[in-house]
Formats: sequence, C-alpha cells, structure tokens
Amino acid sequence: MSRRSVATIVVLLAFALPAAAHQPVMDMAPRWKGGWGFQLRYEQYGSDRLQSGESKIDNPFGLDKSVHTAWLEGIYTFRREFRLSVKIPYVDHNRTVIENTVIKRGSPVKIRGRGLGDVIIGMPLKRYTNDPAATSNIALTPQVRLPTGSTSDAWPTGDGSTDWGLSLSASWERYHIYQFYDLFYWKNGDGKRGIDQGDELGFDANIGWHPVHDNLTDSGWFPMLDVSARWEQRGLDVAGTTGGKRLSAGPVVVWYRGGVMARAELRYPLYEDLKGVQVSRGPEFNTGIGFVF
Amino acid sequence: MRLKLMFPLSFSMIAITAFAEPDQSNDHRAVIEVAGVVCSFCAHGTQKNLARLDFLDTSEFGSDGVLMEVDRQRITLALDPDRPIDLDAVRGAIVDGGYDPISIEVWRDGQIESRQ
Repeated sequence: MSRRSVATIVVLLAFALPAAAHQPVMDMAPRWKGGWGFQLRYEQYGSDRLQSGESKIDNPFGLDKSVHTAWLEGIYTFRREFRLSVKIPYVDHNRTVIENTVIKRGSPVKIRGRGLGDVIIGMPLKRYTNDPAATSNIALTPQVRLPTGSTSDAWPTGDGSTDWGLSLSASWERYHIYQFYDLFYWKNGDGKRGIDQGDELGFDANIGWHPVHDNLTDSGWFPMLDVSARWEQRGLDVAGTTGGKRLSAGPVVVWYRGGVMARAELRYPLYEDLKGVQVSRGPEFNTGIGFVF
Repeated sequence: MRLKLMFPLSFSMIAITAFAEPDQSNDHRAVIEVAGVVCSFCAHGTQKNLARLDFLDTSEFGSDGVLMEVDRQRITLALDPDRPIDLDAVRGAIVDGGYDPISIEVWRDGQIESRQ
C-alpha cells in the first residue's frame, strides 16, 4: 500500500477540541512534508456532585454521570504549513437523571448511550519560525464536527447537529521549556430530539519543562501543567439544561522515544458555575499514545 | 631532574588531551547547525529524511548514521568515506523536515573539508 494511500485513511489528531483535551505535543509533529501519524486516546470524567450555579446542593436522588470516550485520531501533513486532521470518538456514557414520564415522574433513572460519536475534521494552517535555539508556530484551525453519532440512545452519543469551530493557537519551545496556548470557539448547530447545546468559547494553556533527553535513543520525558477554561452558553440536552463556566488544571506527563509519544494527565475542576441545576463535570483522566511516520 | 620534568609534562599532555577536540582522525562527518531543532520527536521526520541519503555510514549512531543533538541544535551525519556528500540533498532533507539549516561543516579524516 502506497504512502499516499495510507495517509488518506489515517485519521487526524486535531487539537483544540472542547470535548476532549487537546494534544499540544502533537501540535509540533508531524511537521515534515508527507508526514502522518495516528493516536489512540482514552478520556474519562464524571461525578455525583450536584450544583446550582456555583454552589453545591444536596443530591438526595444520587444524580451522577460517567463518560468514557476512546478516540482514534490521525493527521497528514502536506507541508509544514498545512495539514489535515480527523478525530473519531467512541462514546460509552451513563448518567442518573430524574424520570419525567407520567408514571414515574420524579424518580431517578439511569440512562445510557454507547457508540460512535460526532467526528471532527480539522485543517491546521501553521506558520513556523525557527530560531537558532528555539522554534515556534502560530496556527489557525477551522474545524467541523459532523453529526455521525447516534441520537437514538437514551443518552445520545451525538446531538444530530453540524457544528463549526475555529481555533487560534501559538506554541514556543526551547530545549528545556515548552509553552502552548489555544483559544477556540465552537458554533453549535441545532440538534435532534430537542438537543440544542450552546456555543462554546475555550482557552487552554500547557507549560512544560524538559529535564531528561537522550540523544542516542531520541528518548526522554517531561512534565507539564495544563490549565483549561470553558464558557458554554445555556443550552438543552435530553436531561435538561446545559452550559456554564469552568476552570480546571492538572499535571501532565509525557514520555517519548523516536516517533512514539505517550501521555497521561489528570485535570481537576477549580471553579464551576453551571447553568440551572446540573451534575459537575468532575475530575478528568486522559491518556494516549501516538505514532508519527 | 628527568622525574621533575616528567610530571608537569605528563600533566600537560593529559590536560591538552582532555580539553582538545575529539579525535576525528578517522572520522568522516557532516556537522549541521539547524535552527529550531529542540525536540527530537518533532524532528523525527527530519531524521528519517536524512537517514535515506545514500552517502551515510549507517554503522554509526544506532543504525542510520544520523545523530540528533537537540540540546545543541545540531545534527551530525556519519559519512561513507567512499562516497561524496550531496549538500543540496542534506539541506532539502532538513527543509522538508520542517527546519532550517544554518551551517554545514564537512570533515574528512579529521580535517575540515568545507564549511557553508
């Protein structure tokens, strides 16, 4: 199979995803002409903390949510300034909500959903600057999120809408220090079954320190700090109100060798102000491994 | 008298050896200063591009004849002594890899042959 054929079927790793932690290190690779790569990533978050606005409230019915998503992501670099990315999610989630049928109004019920989520396609446009001891880039990334997820589950894995996004990012790196900043916006379309999630504005920052590298094996590791902020307009899903503001942060550890990179991160909510009464997003765990060629 | 002279002479020789440039009397090398190469994962493609060049001594530096020194922003190629180096191919491999070569020094038998 030719390289070009393989490249056409490789999925993308796009960064600046509101529903998933971005991958700033993949921001820097593959930056070579004809380069391609793929990544497998697992993301988990959830809690049983019920909030009204900023305040925690009693949760006598045990409302909660748990979301697990496996991502297959890939990228192809036509040249350093232009690449194409795809992210394909597989979602497995459940939540306890208040039943709203005539028979069981007011009773807690567990709803679930499992299957393909909404696929995201992105087109990072980058401008690199190479200095003697540093490299940096700025990027503009238009994105589209397609309604490929099912809306038939009790808790749908997709919302049935086509959404459009735009991200502006910048990264700067020296041998020992890495910085990445990303500002993005998603315009969410009207979905099916009354789902209408609000538009979202997000900001991410990653700052890393690179203590260990071996030139002979091209391997090493480094820790980073991840800080994320989200502002989502009020909206609706099958269980009620969505939207709010949140700020979260946590540690990231990255290991690499040659063209392989693995990453694990934890993210804790530092501040959440939710529209209406909702279950908090809770702490998040994210891990993945990527390969570039 | 001889013993008194031998000690400082020996010490001087050791000092000179310790601080001298590495012995390249049998080395054939191209040493390339590259702007921006601070991350080996990011430069993986550049290394692959260079490894495809047909004038390298692939018995060195692992199995491809390419040593990436991201702490010094430098790439060293082990050269086949029986093949001429193609500097345009070297530059092209680096540019296609997403970086910018600053200078290239070519060493043959421990002597600098060219610097661009």
